[in-house]
Amino acid sequence: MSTIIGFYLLSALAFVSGLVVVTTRNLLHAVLALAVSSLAVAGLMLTLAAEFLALVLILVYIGAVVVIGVFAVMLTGHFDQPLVPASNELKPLGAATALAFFLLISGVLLIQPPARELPLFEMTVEQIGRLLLTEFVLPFELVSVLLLAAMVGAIVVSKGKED
Amino acid sequence: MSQWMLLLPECVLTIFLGVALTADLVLPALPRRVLALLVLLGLAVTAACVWWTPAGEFGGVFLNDGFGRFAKTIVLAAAALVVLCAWDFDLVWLRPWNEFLFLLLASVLGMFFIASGRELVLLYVGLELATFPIVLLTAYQPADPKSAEGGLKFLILAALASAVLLFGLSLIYAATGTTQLTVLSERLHQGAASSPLLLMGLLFLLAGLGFKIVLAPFHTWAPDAYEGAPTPVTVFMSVASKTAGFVLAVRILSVGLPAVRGTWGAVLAVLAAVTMTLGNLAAIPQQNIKRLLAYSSIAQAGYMVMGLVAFKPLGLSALLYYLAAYLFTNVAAFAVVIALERATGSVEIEAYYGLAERSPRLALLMLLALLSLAGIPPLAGFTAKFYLFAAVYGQGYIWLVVLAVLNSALSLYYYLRVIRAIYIHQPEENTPPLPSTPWPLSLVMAVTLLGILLLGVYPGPIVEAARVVVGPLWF
Repeated sequence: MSTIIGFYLLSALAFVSGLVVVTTRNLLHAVLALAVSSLAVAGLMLTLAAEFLALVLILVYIGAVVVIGVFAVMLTGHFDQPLVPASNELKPLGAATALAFFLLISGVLLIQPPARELPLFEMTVEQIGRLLLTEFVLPFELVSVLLLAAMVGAIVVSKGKED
Repeated sequence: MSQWMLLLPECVLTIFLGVALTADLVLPALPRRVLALLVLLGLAVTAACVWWTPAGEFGGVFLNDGFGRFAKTIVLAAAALVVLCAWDFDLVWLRPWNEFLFLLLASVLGMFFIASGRELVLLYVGLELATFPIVLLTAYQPADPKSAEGGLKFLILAALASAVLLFGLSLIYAATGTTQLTVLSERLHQGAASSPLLLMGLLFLLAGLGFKIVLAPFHTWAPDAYEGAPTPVTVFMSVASKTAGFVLAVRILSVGLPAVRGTWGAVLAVLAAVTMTLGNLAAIPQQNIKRLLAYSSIAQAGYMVMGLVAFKPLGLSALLYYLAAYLFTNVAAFAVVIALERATGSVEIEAYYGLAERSPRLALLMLLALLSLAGIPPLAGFTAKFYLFAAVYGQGYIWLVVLAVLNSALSLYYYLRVIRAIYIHQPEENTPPLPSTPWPLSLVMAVTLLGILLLGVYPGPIVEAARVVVGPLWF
């Protein structure tokens, strides 16, 4: 019962803060709302006994992505008066698409509730670690090349003109 | 012999990738051409390893087979031609050269894993590794705001496409409980095929793939990215990325999801029809040659999807042959664009006025490339279209073949517009004569010319090779 209450509370929090992210005019508020939203989603993952994913979400999204976002907003200025409006004439279309997507997903889930009982592990960290070095060792290694390429490329592109 | 031997080409490529990145730390002031030669050597060694490494499977997630080898060879050839094209591009090429080569090789490495992957997570990571270096290379030209704009649009839409694709893959996992394509196929045959979760996953998967192989209506990023990217990067994007995208589609759809072929076949048939028509219509008013070729490549993707629609060995081998022919044809056209851009700094069609008088050789190559793109015999493009259309016709999609033939006629209109600019229009007064083409670019032109003619008049060996390698995809 408490999980269900927790689920609804956290979902509502994620939903409301998500709305704030896309509607507020103040970029700083948007970034902070994103942190709240990520935190709520991390809480949802905890109720699903996926504590590793929850921690990664907090570490990576709140700890790194949101903090970088705050820095970017502060350093570029205009954070309380963004130059670009928060919405444009495509707003109704966007809302309609989001609604259609929601109806589609919920329709599919109503027709076919995910019946497969995915096994719940006591220690998901251990399982994930094991899988990363066995079945998923190739993507695990490949991601390091991807990160290296992203890092090198980001530096090259942002460094500006070479003298 | 250890299973790890199967990864030899990938390991060799990774080593050269590191070499490209660190070479000028060890040897500062390393001349540009030495590094380029080193990378070409790396590509050649990798190609040798691709063909030398025995066929086999790595833990059910990675497969070394003829299909993968064929795709890897196309990608390696494209990368080598791009290095040669970019070699002397420093006229507008201000950014570091070794990072350019590093990012190019990183993308090739990602494509290698797409070509051999048999497991959704690996395929996805390979796809990201193949795409993101190209996004960065698109934004590589600081002096040009179009490059930044193209790069930004590409980045946002590539991220969106990845999200859509990933969501589709996660739904497929939810419906079947596996990410291994062969297991997935078995589970579908045991009755998971009709589940709505799976169909929804399939729909998202197709949308994500549509972004990657540039199908309408997911094509909007492509013209801006093609136009904004430095032209050698455009070449790589239009040839290698497209090949990788189609290889990914073949792997996932034919190995993992043959059980729901009716659904994806129908969706792809409609997408093919929309894509080729829209691409050709949008190409007609273009004044910028890179945009024109971008829309032309969208239309070409529409034809290629027909190979997936026809599916049966004939359709897929026709698709592989088409990709090989497209490699030579498109690189030839872009080589001329690069030569003209070096000489005049312009990529507008006006820069081509009277090219036949100013440089008969460039004019002839452009003529052959455009006619091959349009599918005029006896060039490579004709043979490729012939095999492809025949395969689709054999599967009973007569309306699609009729539409494709009509589209080919339509495409001739805008290709002929460029040819008219080259052969009929007079050059403007006191146009300076064209400087001679540097040898790497001349080499690209010679190779692609040979490819266009050879694949056109003597298609036998490649057709046979394509037929042999798609055979084992069936079981």
